[in-house]
Amino acid sequence: MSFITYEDVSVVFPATRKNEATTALENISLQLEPTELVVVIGRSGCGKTTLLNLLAGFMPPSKGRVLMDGLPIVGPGVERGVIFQKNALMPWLNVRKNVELGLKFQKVSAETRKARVEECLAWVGLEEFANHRVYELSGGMQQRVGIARALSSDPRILLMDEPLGALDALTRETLQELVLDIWNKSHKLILLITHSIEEALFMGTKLVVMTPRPGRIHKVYPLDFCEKFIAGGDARAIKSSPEFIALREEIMNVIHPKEGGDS
Amino acid sequence: MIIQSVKDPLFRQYTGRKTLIISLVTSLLLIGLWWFVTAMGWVKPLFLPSPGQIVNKLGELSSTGFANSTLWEHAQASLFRVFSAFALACLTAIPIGIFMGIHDLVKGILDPVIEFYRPLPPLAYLPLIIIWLGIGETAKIVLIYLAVFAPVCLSTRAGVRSVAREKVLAAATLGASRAQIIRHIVFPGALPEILTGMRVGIGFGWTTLVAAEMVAATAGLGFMVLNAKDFLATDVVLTGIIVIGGIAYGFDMIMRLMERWLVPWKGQE
Repeated sequence: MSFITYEDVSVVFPATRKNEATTALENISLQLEPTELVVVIGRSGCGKTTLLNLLAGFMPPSKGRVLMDGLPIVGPGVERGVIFQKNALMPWLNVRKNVELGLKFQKVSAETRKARVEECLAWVGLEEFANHRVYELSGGMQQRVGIARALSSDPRILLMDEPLGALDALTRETLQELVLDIWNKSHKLILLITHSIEEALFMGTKLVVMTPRPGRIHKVYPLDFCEKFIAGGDARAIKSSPEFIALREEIMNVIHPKEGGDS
Repeated sequence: MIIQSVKDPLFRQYTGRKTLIISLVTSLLLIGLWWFVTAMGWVKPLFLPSPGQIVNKLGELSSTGFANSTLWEHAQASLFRVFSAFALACLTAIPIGIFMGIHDLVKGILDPVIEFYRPLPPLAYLPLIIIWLGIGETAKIVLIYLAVFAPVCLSTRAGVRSVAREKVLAAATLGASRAQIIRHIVFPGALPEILTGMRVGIGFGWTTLVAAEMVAATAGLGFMVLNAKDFLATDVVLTGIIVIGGIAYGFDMIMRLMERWLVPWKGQE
């Protein structure tokens, strides 16, 4: 039995006054194992966020089941931490209190909370900023707070919904390496949604390529570029290696076909 | 040396100090104009007493009073009515607004009621409240309460709806119960709009005060103004208006300070 199983899952958004019914996901079957770093890529509208929302417990599938350890997901839970693209930090709390929030909800003792928060802040390199207001931090630092907060509950899975999508290229690369470091040390399952092919190839151990209308899995690729990086490889050398470029072109052709595409 | 200047396509902005000076100058000019037309005798004191008369009246009202109460006693009666109504309105409208924001059943039940009475002028339903509650203090407070309730409740609801979905979902994945989400995410998230609603609400409260004191009051700033009108005591009317305006303005300032203190993140995200 796999850790996470998508069992022939479909999601249909019912018609509204403005829009016709849309099939966001159609007949998705996918297995995820405990220490994988699974990256899902596809154009907007291919249902990649829906795929994550199902596992997070934010919505039910219209058909099929999403199982964790063989049991259906019935709602959000602390064993599945989520890192959002934006808007998810509480501006009325400082950095420390944002990270501490989950532990408070779970009624963890003040002493344990303090130690755990320090640990998580150190992990993302924000010890110095513990007392800063979150809205005064840069986008990259805000995402570090989000990661530290998700880590505070020690979840088994980290779900990342384009967390680096709004960042500039340099900050993005630093954070990619931070996420890889966390994954390597914690051996959690990470499900990362992205629309950057380079990010997907560099970070994943498994790449799920999706195509839109209706959202379907086109192909699943096993990857090992991130392991090369963790083993000490140079990020830029990996990203410019012939295998990397060949695969990048192959996936580019699936996601953005040269002819007949509406860009 | 030529300093390059660039024109903003929309805003004409000055420093805070310059804007303050502009406001002060216009205010002083208006008072000056008021003084001038009365000093020249262009307007009879019956229609517009001079600024000096008002200042004298203010002193007289404070010491000897009008209609058996001093100015402070009138102000006290009005402040008590407005603030007890305001406090009651906040205590009820904020929780109700929160539940209207998160539960369609509550929204479905209350929305038509609030939306129906909200645009009505308080004077229109004042007779009904008197028939139901009599002419005592209760009727006055209820009238002001109703005027404050709607804006506080509706902006609380709007504030709740404006809390980013991601914040609520993030809290849920961190193990928050529904009650914890309401207490720790929804309430603080809606606080900026709740405070705006309170500011608008207290404004409506002062607006409704005179209507509330129209019937069977023996003290109160609104009563004082209405009573003075019967004696054509224009100076008392004008003094009363200025005092009401001053108190309302002062409270608006306090609310703004509270906003800056309680929700410093407003507009920062």
